[in-house]
Amino acid sequence: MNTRLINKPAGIGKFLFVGILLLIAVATLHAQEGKTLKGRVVDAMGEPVSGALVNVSESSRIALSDVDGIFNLIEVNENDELYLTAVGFVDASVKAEFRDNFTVVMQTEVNDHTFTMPVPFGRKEDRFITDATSVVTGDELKKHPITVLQNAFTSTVTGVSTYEWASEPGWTESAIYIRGLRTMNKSARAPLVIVDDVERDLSFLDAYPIENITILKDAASTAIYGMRGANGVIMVTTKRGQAGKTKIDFTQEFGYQTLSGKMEVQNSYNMTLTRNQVRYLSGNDPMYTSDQIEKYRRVSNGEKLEGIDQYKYFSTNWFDELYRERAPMNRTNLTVSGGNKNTRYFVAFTHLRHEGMWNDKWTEYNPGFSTQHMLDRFNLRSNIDIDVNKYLNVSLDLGGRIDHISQPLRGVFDIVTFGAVEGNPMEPVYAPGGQIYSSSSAQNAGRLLASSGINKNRRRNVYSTVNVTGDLGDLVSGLKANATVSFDSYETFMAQQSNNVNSYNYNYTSNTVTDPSEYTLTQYSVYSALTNPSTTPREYYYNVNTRFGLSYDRRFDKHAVNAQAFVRSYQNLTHGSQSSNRFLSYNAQANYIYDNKYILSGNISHMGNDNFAPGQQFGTFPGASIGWVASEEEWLKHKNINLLKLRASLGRAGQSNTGVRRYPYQGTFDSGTGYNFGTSQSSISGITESAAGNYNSKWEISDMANIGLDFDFFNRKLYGSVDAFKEWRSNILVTRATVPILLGVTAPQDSYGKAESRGFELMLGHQNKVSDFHYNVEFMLSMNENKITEMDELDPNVEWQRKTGKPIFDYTHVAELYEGAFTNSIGGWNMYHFVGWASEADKVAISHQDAIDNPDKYPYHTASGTGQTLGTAVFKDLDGDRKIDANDMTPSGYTIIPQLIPSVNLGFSWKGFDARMILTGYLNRSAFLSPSISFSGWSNMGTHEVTKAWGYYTDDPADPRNINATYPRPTWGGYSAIDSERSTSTYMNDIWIKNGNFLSLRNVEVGYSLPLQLISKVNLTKCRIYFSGYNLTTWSQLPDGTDPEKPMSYVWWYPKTSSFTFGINASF
Amino acid sequence: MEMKKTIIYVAFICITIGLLFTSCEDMFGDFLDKQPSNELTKDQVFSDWNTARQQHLDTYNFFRNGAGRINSTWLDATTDLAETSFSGGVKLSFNIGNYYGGTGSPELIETWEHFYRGIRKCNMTLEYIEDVPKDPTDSDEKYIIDKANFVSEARFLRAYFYWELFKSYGPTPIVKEVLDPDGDLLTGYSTRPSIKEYVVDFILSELSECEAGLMNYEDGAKAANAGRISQPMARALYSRIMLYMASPRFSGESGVTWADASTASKSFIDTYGSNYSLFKTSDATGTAYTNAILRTTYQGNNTETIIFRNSVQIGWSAISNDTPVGEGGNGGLCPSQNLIDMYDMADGSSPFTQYDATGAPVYSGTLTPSVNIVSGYSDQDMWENRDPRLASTVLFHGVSWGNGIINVIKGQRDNPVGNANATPTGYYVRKYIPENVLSNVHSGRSYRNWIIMRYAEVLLNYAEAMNEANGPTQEVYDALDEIRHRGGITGNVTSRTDLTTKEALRNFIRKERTVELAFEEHRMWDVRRWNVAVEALSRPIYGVEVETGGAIARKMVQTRPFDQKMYLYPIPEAEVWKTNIENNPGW
Repeated sequence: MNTRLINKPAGIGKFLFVGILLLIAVATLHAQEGKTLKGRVVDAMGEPVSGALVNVSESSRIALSDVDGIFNLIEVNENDELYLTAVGFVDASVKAEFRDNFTVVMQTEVNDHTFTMPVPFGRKEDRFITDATSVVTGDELKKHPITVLQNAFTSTVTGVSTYEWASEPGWTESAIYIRGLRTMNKSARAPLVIVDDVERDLSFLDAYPIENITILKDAASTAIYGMRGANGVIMVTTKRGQAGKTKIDFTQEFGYQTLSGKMEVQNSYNMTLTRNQVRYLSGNDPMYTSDQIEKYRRVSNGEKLEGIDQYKYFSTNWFDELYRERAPMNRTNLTVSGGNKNTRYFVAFTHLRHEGMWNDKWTEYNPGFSTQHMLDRFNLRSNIDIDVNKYLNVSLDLGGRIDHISQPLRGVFDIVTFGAVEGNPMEPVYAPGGQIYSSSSAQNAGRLLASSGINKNRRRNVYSTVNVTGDLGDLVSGLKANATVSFDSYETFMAQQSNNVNSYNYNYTSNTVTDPSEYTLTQYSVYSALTNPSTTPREYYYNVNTRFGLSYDRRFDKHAVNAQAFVRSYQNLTHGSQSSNRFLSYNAQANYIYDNKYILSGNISHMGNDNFAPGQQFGTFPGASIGWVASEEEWLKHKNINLLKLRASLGRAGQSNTGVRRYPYQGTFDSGTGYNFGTSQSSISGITESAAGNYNSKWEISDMANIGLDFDFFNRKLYGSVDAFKEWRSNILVTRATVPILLGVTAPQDSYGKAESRGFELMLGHQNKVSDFHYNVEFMLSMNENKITEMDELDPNVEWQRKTGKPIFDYTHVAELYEGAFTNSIGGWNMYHFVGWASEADKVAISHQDAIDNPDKYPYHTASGTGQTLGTAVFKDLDGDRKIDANDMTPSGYTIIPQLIPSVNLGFSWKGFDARMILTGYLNRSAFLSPSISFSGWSNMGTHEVTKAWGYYTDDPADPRNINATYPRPTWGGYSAIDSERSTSTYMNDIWIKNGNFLSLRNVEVGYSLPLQLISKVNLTKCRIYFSGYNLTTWSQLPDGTDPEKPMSYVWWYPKTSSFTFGINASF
Repeated sequence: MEMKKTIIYVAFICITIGLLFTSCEDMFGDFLDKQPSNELTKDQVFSDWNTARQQHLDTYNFFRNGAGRINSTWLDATTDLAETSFSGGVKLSFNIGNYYGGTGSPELIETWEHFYRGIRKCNMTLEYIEDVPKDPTDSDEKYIIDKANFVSEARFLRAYFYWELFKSYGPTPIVKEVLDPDGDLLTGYSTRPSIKEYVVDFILSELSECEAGLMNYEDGAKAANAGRISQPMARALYSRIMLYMASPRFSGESGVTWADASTASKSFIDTYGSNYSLFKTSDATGTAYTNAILRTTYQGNNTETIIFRNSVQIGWSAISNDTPVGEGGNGGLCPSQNLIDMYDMADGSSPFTQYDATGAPVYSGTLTPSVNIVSGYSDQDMWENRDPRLASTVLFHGVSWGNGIINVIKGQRDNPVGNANATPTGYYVRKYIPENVLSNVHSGRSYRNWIIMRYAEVLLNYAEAMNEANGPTQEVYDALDEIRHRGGITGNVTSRTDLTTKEALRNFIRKERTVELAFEEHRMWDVRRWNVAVEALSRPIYGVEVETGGAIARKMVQTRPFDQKMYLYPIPEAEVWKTNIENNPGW
């Protein structure tokens, strides 16, 4: 019953598949009316073209030309429009002629970079693009079997880093940074996401309808987005129908996810050794006798104990109770596109099903319902273009997404942390009678899952755009008018149901019990059936975008001119307490190309936002770039120089999303504490000033210069691009350190800060073939670095803590990185520097004076009271005052966002086989670990790597206390104040802040395509089966089983996973 | 045909776009106007009488509640009157001379910030109230009176806040306007005024000037107004500040004489002597002295309290931090033996032979001062036959309290081994803690207002100033007796033969003031204005050990450093950097 319930939506894929087979059958069995057309396909030299697909326009019946270029297409009528495609040739279309020697000439495709690419509000030939941009194609995106699109960026384009901070099905989120951090304001770093020229949500888009994603990196290209473009723009363009063949594309993927790394936990035997050693170090008696240790050793080895011992000694791996081996996921896509010269359409439907990693032994514990994570996502996209007549084109784009997420009602943090991370291996899973064991100190991952209840979330998004273009060419040649209105709606619902299960505990440590019947069970939790859902009112917001403008595009002899001017408005309407956010901009773009060689391009946006003070709402953002297509010069023109282009740009863009409250210019008041007056003590509600207004809370400004080079030699035998940039960021909101408290109200943040960034991006590619063997290699490298140049800083106590002039760290308290929902925090800190462990008792200073008087002693640590415990850290005394205090901290290392990202992409194809692999490194990066993952959970639940702790039991007589340990001494009942106290700043030291560099095998894909000759018989143009693995393995210096991308989050929250997918892709 | 079509289309498109553009212009005209939103702005607050009133009255919250003021510790725990049992309290910051470090240090910054915030609030009322329109339900007359009243109240509160800043930091920049964070925040605020400019010319003159506009006593005492600032409060605060200004530490700079100070106190007694008096009702819930602290003006007809921070009824959670550990509390404020030694005998005689200018007996290096044999005092029954205010202020071994009997024998109920909150001195605090909260398993509730000024202080101010100005006179003796008799002492001061000189009486008045006003945040500032803080606050803190047989042994609890520079708090370092003002001497 359960399994059927769970599998129900998965049937959609099969249903679709059957439907398509039917469709094919119908098409094949179609009554034979027309005649068979015989013809020949040749290239410009008259040589036969084999493998060309021929079909009648708007139909999907095909024929394939043979080695002589000859094809036979059935059911062709006189005057039918034929449509031909072949690899390496330009698509051709001709009228069918029933005559002998009917020949179609196909032009060889020339690699001259004249294909067009989307640019903001238009398209441009690739060779004329003069901005710093990178493109990810839709085909590339499809290869990443992941639910978050942007994770595919890092390894496939330069200048972008992503940071996955939640992997829970349905809630997967990544933060994206283009060209690094660039601003101290954590809230002002997100790039702008534009989907089909409208600001939209990216994270839940689906790869299939995407033509490509363009990353706009320099300010000259993003200036047109005014005060939204400073962090770069991710511009998504969806696919549109093409006149010609009706294309049906079907993909079915089956896959599963596994844990990408399993944290090694201590077994009970190690626990006994650890605990005894910890007690020994503190001068206490051992906790376990050698008899007990022996029994724990045996259970830990998997032995089954005899008699009553089996109810006393356990070695439970709580992670095994928590997670299952693999979680299924599957994805089905059907795309249909085509059209004629008047109407074109593109329709895609995708269903994604993604289950969670929770152990199904427990999620299916209750009959009738499951507490597993289950995401069902339905994406629909329909883009229709209609040429109403010669003058009027209308397009209607509709997109929709429905997410059904069912998940445990109990929070993921609770389940993972209390269920397993802090679980004691000595505790049993079951009571002697087979009941679930549970107590307040042993939460039992199984019980937490089984009694978790169900939280159902529904999300419904609708994206719609109507675009009307009028050709005014009869009036002024090249002139067009354009109007676009779009309306997007986002809604969420939630329904929650709770349940409970019976669980019991018994005193398994009792020494007197000799028979299991003597145990008395104490009930810990009581069964309750699944409750009726309690629903939360739905949340919704919607966005309205409009754009009205004129465009002009004309070529006079050697002069090509393209220009447009338009007005854009954007408003975001929310049902919450905020009023709608509004933007209005007046924009113009112009492009001039002389003789295909010299390019001059400029754009300007005059944009206003209602969040700023009247009269100060608008800013002007210009950008300009120049380019020289050297490969077009007569003296350089050569068939082996396909492209050589030099370019330079300079621009200004803004960032108005600074995390500041609504209307920061106005001071606001809030309800105060109130006060009681009078004999009846009536309370008067108070009003108090909550924030001072600041007219200088503005948008950030990014001025950026970029130079670049694009090249392609020997027909992609050597191709690539290089970009170097420098950014001057200003107007960064900073806390005014110099505003005195006597102002009487918290000084508002002020757009006062400045920062500078610079970096480069390099991409080199090589593509070649040796007979049938095609291969390609791409190497990418992105680098960026930054520094704070102005932040209104008070003079620090010690020079090395000055922030101005240093790289941007987030000087956040470590706790923010450590707990909380792990949102966008990215790290960076002042920290102590580890020198060694205090291992010699006579070197411990008992006071500051003692340390001064005895220079050979360890410097005195202010947190250590009258003396440091052995096995805690000795830190570097930076100021040489023989005292370790806050002055001895200094920023060090990097942030968790890498400075250097190399990436290698390898691919080959041979006959029908193809394979590829992506390797990505994140370098110059620091990651934060927590003591509890290393040797001690909150309640001394020894976990991982405790054997690397100081003082841990070791057999090496030369190092009896393991004094060259990696971690400090584990202590009984808590942490040492010096190196691991979580509540104090002493926690910040480089024992826990590690080199976070890692190398990741992101993606491997292997495929086989059935020969065209075979499949064309059933009108298939493509049939490929493939296997793809994502996030396969990582290499780093972090402890085993911790994912380097975000080590702490993946310990306490939903785990990081690897995905494996088998798929079939068929096109008609 | 084709041509016609073209023209029609072009015309259509032109018209459409034209229309769109024109309507867009209109639409865009106000597109970026501020949308209806829920933020309350300054303009909104000060365009409605009710919101302006709420803004103004909320200022009363800046009266601080002294109970648990510094990290759950009371200000008096930083004086010789008490020690705190909290390791996280001022024990490891103020009391070991570490003003900047440790958990007591927030007091240094928060005091500064707290009052400057309060001052800004007052300045808002003063700057904006004039233009706030009348509440339509009010009469024109009420509008005018209320407005004048708000202005005067704001001036009083602002003067009080500046006074509080003065006690901690000395004269600080006087801000009399609503500062604009975008504006110039340095000019005018980078130098520190003199004491005369700050206290005499500003605070005192503000207090005199605002008095007329405040509610008179009758209005202030009305059912609807209890707790609001009224004329007597201004007069009372004035008397206190005058006393400070006439004191040795300030008189040289202020120019205020003891005679001026006595006049100020006398003026209050003469004008309001019929309205205020010592509260003398004792009943089952407490002595007159206890009730004077815990009864409210509005619920308990307490006519003694003059200025107070009004608090609603409190329960266990509000007092648990200052309740004996045997009662389930956290110890908290633990009175010192130094305080115990300052109480006289019940008959009014002194237990010890000699007292110094801090009001304390002279210890001369021993744990026990030399005993005045005639008084009948003995260390072994040190709590017997003492000034009844001792028992109303301090919980000592053997008294019945709450749900048990105080037992501080090592390892017993209120002094268990290993409990960090157990009393270090052998005493727990009783004053200000309503015992009825402890009844029915700590479910009781009680009013407890934090007293800022009460009539007893005015009498003490008067006695001190008169003695300093004129030496021992009948007025001085009368004022002291009034207080001591209410406290339960039977004898008269005049019958004491050792109090005939101005000097002897000075020490006696200081002792009397310390005892009467213990734990009301006076000791800390009094020893400073008397210029005896080094003597008083660098003296060790003493306590007692009660042995199993009941024998009492004195012990030293903590040695305390006190440097000259600690007369004033350091001004928060960052503030010094930001404003360029001079920090206090030694910091």
